[in-house]
Amino acid sequence: MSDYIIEARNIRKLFGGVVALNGAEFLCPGGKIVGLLGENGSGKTTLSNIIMGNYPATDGELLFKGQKVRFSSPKEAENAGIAMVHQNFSLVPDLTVWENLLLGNEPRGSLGMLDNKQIRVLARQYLDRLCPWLDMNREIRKLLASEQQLVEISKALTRNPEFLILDEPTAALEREEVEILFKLMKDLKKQGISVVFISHRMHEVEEICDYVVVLRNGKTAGTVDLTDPDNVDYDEIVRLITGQRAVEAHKRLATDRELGDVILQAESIGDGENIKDVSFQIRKGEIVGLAGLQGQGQEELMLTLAGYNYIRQGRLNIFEKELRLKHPKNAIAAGMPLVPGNRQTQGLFMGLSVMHNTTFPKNLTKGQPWILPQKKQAAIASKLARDLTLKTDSLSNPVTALSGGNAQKVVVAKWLPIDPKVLLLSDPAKGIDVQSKADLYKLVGEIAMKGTSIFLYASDMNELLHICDRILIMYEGRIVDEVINSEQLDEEILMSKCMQHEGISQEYKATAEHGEQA
Amino acid sequence: MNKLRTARASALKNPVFLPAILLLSLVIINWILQPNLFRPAVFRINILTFSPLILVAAGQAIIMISGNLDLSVGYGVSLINCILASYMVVDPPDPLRNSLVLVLALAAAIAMGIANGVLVGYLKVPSFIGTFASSFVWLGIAIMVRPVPGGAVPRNFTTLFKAHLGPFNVIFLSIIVALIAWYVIRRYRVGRYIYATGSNMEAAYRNGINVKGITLMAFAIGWVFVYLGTLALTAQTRAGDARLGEPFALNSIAAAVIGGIVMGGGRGNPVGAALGAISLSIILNIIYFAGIPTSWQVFVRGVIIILAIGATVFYKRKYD
Repeated sequence: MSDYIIEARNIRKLFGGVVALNGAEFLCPGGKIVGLLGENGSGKTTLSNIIMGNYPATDGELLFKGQKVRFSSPKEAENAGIAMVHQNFSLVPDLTVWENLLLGNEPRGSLGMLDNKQIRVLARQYLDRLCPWLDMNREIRKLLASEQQLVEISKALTRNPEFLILDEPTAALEREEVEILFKLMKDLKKQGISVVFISHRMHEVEEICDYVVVLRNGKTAGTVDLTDPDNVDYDEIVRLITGQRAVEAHKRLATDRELGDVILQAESIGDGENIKDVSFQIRKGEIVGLAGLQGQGQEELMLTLAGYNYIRQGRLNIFEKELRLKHPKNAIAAGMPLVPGNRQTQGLFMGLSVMHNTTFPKNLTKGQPWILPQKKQAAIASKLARDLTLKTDSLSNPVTALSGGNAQKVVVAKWLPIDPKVLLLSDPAKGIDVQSKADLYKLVGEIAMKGTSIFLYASDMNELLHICDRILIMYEGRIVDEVINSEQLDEEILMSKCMQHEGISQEYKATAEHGEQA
Repeated sequence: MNKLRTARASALKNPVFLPAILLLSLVIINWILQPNLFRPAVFRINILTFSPLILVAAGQAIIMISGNLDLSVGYGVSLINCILASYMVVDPPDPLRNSLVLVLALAAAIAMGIANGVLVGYLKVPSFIGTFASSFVWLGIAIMVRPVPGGAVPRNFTTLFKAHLGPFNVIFLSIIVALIAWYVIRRYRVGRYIYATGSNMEAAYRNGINVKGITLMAFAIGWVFVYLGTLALTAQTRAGDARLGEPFALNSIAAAVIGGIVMGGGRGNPVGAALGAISLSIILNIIYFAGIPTSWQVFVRGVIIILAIGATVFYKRKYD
């Protein structure tokens, strides 16, 4: 009899001619939390999908509780006792939370009808473990991304799994929600349920996992035991993830930039809804961060500065002149474009070529000829590609052909031809791997060196600590504090500033609940 | 106070709320122009005239909720109508044979729904194109069955639909029963899964829902409503005509949209579509009784429909 609940041996998977997995090994004993690490495209999700029966492996064998299995659909895997929380949600947007929780597994009552009463009772029970404050009569499309994530995890629990795969569950969550999730994971572990935790956030993996399995280029690169925290070589994990390349993800970027005059100045601006009385200044070449608990108005502030939402109170000055924003094009014309967090839906035209994507912003600016100068634009695009060391054989390839990290560079760099004065970044590194993240912030640092100011919101505070000169703290739509970044500052200090004072999370929850009822 | 507020909030959220308000205002305008609107006889005649579109639109709505569209319901109506008028024996009526023809027509309707469902659900042809193509097959068969307009249905077929209890005729009651039937279907998995599939097919599939089968079921159930609508239509025309159903394809989609059905699927309610169909039909009444010159009537109708659909879309953006 085997000690492992899951054994995946020598898994190979080809998509057309592309090798996604080649010799992946994954062993998981019962009642453990295992971290599955690797860069984007290293095969973490592919491996999970093969275990889940979303598609078959080309080669290799899979054992569940010592028995050889080959699931042909997610339903079969679920029936056997495996559940997975996907990165792309499996929630149906137009149904309510409670309808979604047991979708496909509804208990039935008289005449084979859906037993809605029982469904609601069960739904509430499962939700109470993670998000007791959530109103389950709301439709999924009206929930925040983090609430959807919590519902998604609750839904996986309704399948009563013995083996649970969480694919980047914390990417959409803020710290306090991550803590609730970790507590749940520990409870599951006590019950003998094994959990696979996929995350790009190293500190979370260190905190919760018993050991980690690292994938690199579709192959298992190694396993590191974390049970004895004093004896763990974290550099070893990073080396396994990246291969031989050195990563400076945890080091602070040099801050020997010369700061110029104030470029952007907000005087108690508000949008009449989520942002109130926000004032700040940004100097030339300065990198300013925006931190806060989830949903304190950080994203809304970025959208407002970029012209998506109206400024209803206060005044925004750029170069000491008032900037009136009615449309994103006003912000772009003033040299203040927004780099959105979701490159697939907001940052790029995925089906268009690299060249189209990189020259698009330039075409928006005034004084461009009516007939677009193809040659000139090709020159701009290829210079940009050289500067960024983009890995692509042709600029006419669609951006979908780029790797995640390269595509993310394009999202930022496409604004460079219009010579931006202030670059707004809204969680640009969400869900990208360690190396790509380091590359991205290196690029941002270089842009700042050339005199462009950066205003960065990131949900991961380490990213702010990594690059910012100064960090603004947002709470309930206001800027409540400001800290100069230094070696003494760490995530814990920053977090406590974000929480404002002891017991704030209770109060926060109370207001959230109150908001539900209103 | 708080209860009142939640009651108001849930009323605003109900997909039938706006179509009902829209219909109410159109009815009031109609009533001003035509004071005898609520006399039982006038009410009955109106319901009888509107009933085919009400039922076809409700069927279209179910198909649209599943995330699809059926452009072939128009010629489907034609084919069912031709089958009824051609194979029923009128002089003297043969009750047994005529009932068999009714069953045959129902089978034909369900078969058309299943064919479209296979085309769209299993063969993955986009419904817009797939049902456009199949509509000509239905038209072709209808022409084969009845090359020139004609044929007949028994008189008692018509009198049955016109029979009434006070202001409520049989057709009114059958519309109510058909819509209640949908509420029953919604209490079954099929009903919920039609919404789920239309809302996000990928997510529905991941939940183990047989999205192909559900798409097929949506078409089949929708076509039962199309069949009922054709019965109501044939009871009035009492003859078969292969071109009779033509306007129903686009009218039913317009009625569904006015009734709050979202084009992408997943949201809305056939009851809303039924109300939308009444709105669409009442507009014709209003134009007639307002004394608008004949040459202007089509133009005015178009403008009013744009306003109605515009109001629906605007409301959705604002409150939903």
